[in-house]
Formats: sequence, C-alpha cells, structure tokens
Amino acid sequence: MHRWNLAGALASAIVTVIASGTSAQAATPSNPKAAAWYQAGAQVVSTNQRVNPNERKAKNVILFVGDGMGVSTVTAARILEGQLRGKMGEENLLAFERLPHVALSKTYSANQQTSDSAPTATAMVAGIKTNDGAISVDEDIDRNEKDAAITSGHAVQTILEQAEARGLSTGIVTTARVTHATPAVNYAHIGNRDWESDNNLPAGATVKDIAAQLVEAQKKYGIEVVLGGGRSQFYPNTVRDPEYPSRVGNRRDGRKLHEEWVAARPGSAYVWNQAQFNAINPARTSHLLGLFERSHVQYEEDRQPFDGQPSRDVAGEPSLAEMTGKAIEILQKNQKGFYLMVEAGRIDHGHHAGNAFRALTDTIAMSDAVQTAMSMTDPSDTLIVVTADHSHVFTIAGYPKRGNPILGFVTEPNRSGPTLALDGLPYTTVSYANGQGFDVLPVGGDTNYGASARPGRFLDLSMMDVVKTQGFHQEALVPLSAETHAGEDVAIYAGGPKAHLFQGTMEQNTIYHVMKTALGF
Amino acid sequence: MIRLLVLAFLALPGVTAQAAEPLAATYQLTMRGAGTSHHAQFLLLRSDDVVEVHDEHTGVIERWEREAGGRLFYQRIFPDAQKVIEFQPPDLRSAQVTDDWDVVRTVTGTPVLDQLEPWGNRRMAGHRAAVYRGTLDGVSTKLGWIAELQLPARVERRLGDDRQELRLTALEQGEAAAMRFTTREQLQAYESIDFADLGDRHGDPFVDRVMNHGGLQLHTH
Repeated sequence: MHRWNLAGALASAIVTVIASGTSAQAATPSNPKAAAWYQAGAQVVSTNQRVNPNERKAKNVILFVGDGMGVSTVTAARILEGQLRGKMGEENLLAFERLPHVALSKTYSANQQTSDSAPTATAMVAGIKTNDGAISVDEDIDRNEKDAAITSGHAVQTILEQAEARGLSTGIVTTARVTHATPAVNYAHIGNRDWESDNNLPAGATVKDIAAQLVEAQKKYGIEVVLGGGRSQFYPNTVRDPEYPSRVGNRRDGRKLHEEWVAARPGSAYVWNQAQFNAINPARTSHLLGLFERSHVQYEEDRQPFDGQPSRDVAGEPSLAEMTGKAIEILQKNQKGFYLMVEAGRIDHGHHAGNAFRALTDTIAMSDAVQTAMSMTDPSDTLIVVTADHSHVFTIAGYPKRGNPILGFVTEPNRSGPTLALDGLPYTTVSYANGQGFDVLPVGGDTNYGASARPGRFLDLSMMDVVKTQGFHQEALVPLSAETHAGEDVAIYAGGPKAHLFQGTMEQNTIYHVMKTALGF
Repeated sequence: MIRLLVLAFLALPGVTAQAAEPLAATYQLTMRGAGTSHHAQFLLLRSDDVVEVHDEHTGVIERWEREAGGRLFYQRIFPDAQKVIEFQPPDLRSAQVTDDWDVVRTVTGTPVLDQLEPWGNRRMAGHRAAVYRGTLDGVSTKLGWIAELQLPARVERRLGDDRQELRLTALEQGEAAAMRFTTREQLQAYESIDFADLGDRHGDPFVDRVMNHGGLQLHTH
C-alpha cells in the first residue's frame, strides 16, 4: 500500500532540517533561525514539486464534513492540539491539513447568503444548490411540503445512491443523530430537515420521515454502515430505551426501525454501546447499524472521564475515529470500492453554544478520524475530501505572542501579563461576533439557551484560569439567543485520485462533481 | 447512627422503601422590591420518581424523572404548542437546571434545615410545621417546614427592600394528585425537540418564542 503524500505539510516537521543541494541554498540567510525558516519553506516547495496529479479512477471516496468547521476553527484547533502536546501550537498541523490539495468552498445556498447544514450538505452530495432546510430536494419545493408524490418529484439523486446502484458499498458515520441534516442528505429526500421521525411530521403528511426513509433505503439498496446517534427516532414511544430505561422512543407509528433495518439484509447487526461495538467482527458483518445515544452522541470532551469523575455516558460509545475505522473495515470488503461520509456534527453545537473548548476538541477528534482513514487506505485509489458545510462567527483576535494559550487571554510578545483593552480589562484570543456571550458553566456543552444574553465585556483578571476551562463561554458582541453560522468560504482539503480538481474558489456543489468524476460515474 | 441503621436496613435484599403517596402542592410566590411586586402560582406534583412543576401563569411544565440508578431526566413541556424540549443529563448542569433530586422533590433541599436555627413549631397550611430562622447565602430566611411531607409550608427571604415569600396554599394527596400529572399519552402526542438543537433551529417560530421571549426562563427551583 502506498502512503499518503504529506506534500506541503512537511513544513511543520522540518523547521530544523537543513535543505541541501537546492538553488535556495545560495540565498539562505546567515542567521540560523532565519535560515531554518527559509529552508523549511524551500523544502516544502521541493516536496510539492514531486506531487503529480493522480489521474486514476478512485475506487473509494471518503467525504469528511466538519459541521461548522470554518477556517478560524481549523486554525484554533490546530494550535490547541499542538499545545495539548506540549508544543507552542502554531507550527502544528491537523491530519487533514497534510493533504496535498486545498481549495475554497462558497457555501451560500439557493436562498441564503449564510446557510444552514441541509442545503450545504445537499450541495456536497447531490451537486446542486437548494434552499434552507432542504434534504436532497431541489429549490422549487416548499419547505413544509408534506405530500410524498410532490416531494418525490423534486428529489435529486445523491452520490451514495449512485454508488449503491453501481455495486459499491456505502456508509455514514456521524457524531450527530444519523437522521440529522448532514448525514440525512445521503439517503433521504424531504423538504424539512426537522422531520426526523414521525413525531415531527405535521398532520396529514404522506412523505416519510427521515428515519423511515433510512430503513426504506436499506430495503431498497442497503447501506452497509450507519453509525452515530439518534436512537429515539428509531424506537416507538411504547418501548423503553436500552440505555436510559425511563425514556421511550419518539415514534408514534409503533415501528421498531432498528429491527426492520437488521431484518432487511442478511449479515446485519445493531449495536448501541461501546462493548457491543467492540465485539463486532467486520469480517462477519455485512451491514452495521450503531445508535449510541437517544439524540446526538456525546461531545468528545464528555465521552471521556472528566475532572476525576467517570464519563458522563452510561453505556459508553466509540470515538469518531473508532467508528470511522470500523466502517472502513466493513466497507473495504467490497472489491468494487466504497463511498463513506464521516461527519463531526457537534463542532457546530459547541459553537452555537459559544463554547469554543468543545468546538475545538471535537475538531481535533475529527482530525484523529481522518488520520485513522489515512492509515487504512491507499492514496493511489482512495479520494479523501475534508471540508465544512459552513463557518461560524468565531474569531482569533489581538496580537498574542507565539505559543500563547489559544483559549487564554491575549498576551503580546515581551509582555508578562495580559494585554488590556481600552476598558482596562484583558480579553481572550478567541471570541464570537454574536451569541449569548460570556458565561462559566459547570458543563460547557449546550449553553443556557433561553437565559438572558450577556453580550460585551465581562472579564477581569480574577478569571485568568477560568477562560481555558471546558465550561467557559467566550464573550460575544451582538446579543442573540444562540451564536450563528457565518457566510465566509470554508476550506476543502483533498488527496488521492482527482484531488487536484479542487482548485481555487469553487461553488460548494462542485465537491459532488469531483467525487463523481473520481469514481468514474 | 440511626441514619446509618436505616440505610443499612433499606439496603438489605428484598427490603424496599415504601412508595410515597402522590402529592399536589400549590404554592403562591410573591416578590416585592422598591415599588414593585410580582405574583406567581405554581403547582408542584410529586410521586416516587417524578416531579412536575406547573407554572399556572404560562402553562409551562417542568418535569423531572429519576431512573433507578439516580440519573435525572428533565423536560420542559409546552402544552399549548404541544411541544416538549428534552434535556439530556449533561444539559441539566449547563442549563443550570438543578440535578439534585433532593432539591427537586423538596423545593428547598433538606440540607438548609441544618444551616438554620430551629425556632419552635406552628400550624401552617393545615399542618404542623417546624419553624427555622437564619441566614442563607447572606439572605435573611425564615422557613416553615412540614416534616411529614418533606416540603416547606412557607419560605420568607429578605434582603434590604427585597422580599420574597413562597407559601403553600393548597394540598392534595393520593388519587386526586396522581390524576394531575402529565400522562404518558399526552407526552407521546407532543413533538419532541432536543435542547442541544435549539441553537441550530433558527426560523422555527416555536424555538424563536422559547429562546427570545422567555419561554425557557426558569422559576425558583
């Protein structure tokens, strides 16, 4: 198996490497520190010159989507990961930043300057722009269209459906509910992203809810792997949840969709906790459904034991990297190849809550998942694409010194204490342009939605240690009930067959067309 | 020592605590400040593992449900909109909703009794109540406690010109109280929304209402 080309990524590792035998040598600065920078840059160019476009047809395509993972999120997560490893941080690279090809993605939708996840995800997997809330249907459908026949007339075929039609295996892995917008666009067609179970459907609706459509897809063509959260959308409201026995499912129609899913295909298995997941033998499992929480799975921070307390999760659940690895093991059995979408769905939730800590640690978890995928696949036959559906109003501000804690106060070079703003108070490097604003909560994940917003400045020196903790919510300028998405472009990182077709600034729906071309569809 | 003995007895196999009778307690809350006053009425429903607090003004219901292992689930129920917002266990702390079952079921929590000074007994709301006085969190506090119900008959708190009084005004027990709980059928008929999704449901009129117009504001619990 070939190794993934680290192309421009080598810069981080070779700051001290001496380049040799290049024309750059003559111009190398005499100052050793300057020389190191200079030579590192030259080395990257030298390496990149050896990168040739991979014109082969892709056997496999893996699409990673960091929900809400704008460029500032990538930068901050890169620094945080480096600092968690005891480094200064800025020189670090997340796994997907080592992919050789990068482009920018324009994320507006057919009717939104700044989009939600449904039309942006539809763009990526179906090749078209559509309206807010739309799950793989075109822009001419009403968001609340409840007629199945009308909805069917607006449906657009997805890359997953095309892959299945050609005999490839397919999979969906997410930290959100598997019926949430980004995973749903692969297999469902519906005007309203919120219609995840029949509990959410309006009266008189004939269109099937998203969870039911997943089972219909299973019966029709068979998705090989579905891993994530959202168990309550599959269980009837008369059946107790296996992990939380006081709770029941959401479904009113009495259907046990997880059982129907298993019954639809031989060799199928359903798991809902870590132990069951670990026990799955990919060699003997042709189809795997894993639903590890009633709703979204835990943030990566909360999945782990915390502050000396056990994990907040009762039954345990796999990390995004573990789910990705298991999915690839199952999908790789198909010699024709596979298509897999992996979503880090809770980066978005962390940002909406104004809790940068969780948004960034979930971004790092996605980087780990990409690393897992890279270690299990061959860049000569597998196209890996890593991108975001949209950005968030998350900023990295001030002039902090090199190695300054990314979640801390701004401290400028040659200063011993935090830089003070004109109000005489320090300020954090990362903050939000809008949202609920400052707070310190015992658990930082989902903020105190519904409480009065606290925009503006709240910090004083006594809170020095608090700002870096998991419960801290950064300051925000404009008071809103929740922090919002942002409209600037997001990055596309890619490697493997046809990855060089990601060039310049592209419409988001172009991602689908590159994947389709790579697969030879 | 007695407490340890009781706990040890309850821990013996085959011995379980007697189920508490369902209870419905109506409370009047009065808050007075400098030239202002506010009144509210709450209905507290309590059974072994479920507590509901109905805000009689808004119609919004808070519902806590305790699992066998002690884990609490919390729902905010909006009967007029036929919606339920579901909070997952970690959400309770981030949303600053109490996850202390003792506080949930007794309103004040029983540890406050140890922080106040006993001040005799009185009859309140038709029950014998032990009176306590003292200062809690810097606020002058007077508490009338009905030990047999494990509920306050009256809580008076005073800080400067600000006064707050919570008064038990009516009580039902048994079947009459049990009938007042939100039924499983009612809950199943309502649309369920995850608290974690509120930040991502812009444009939803119901979410807009609860996020921007006080629909998620907490009461005194």
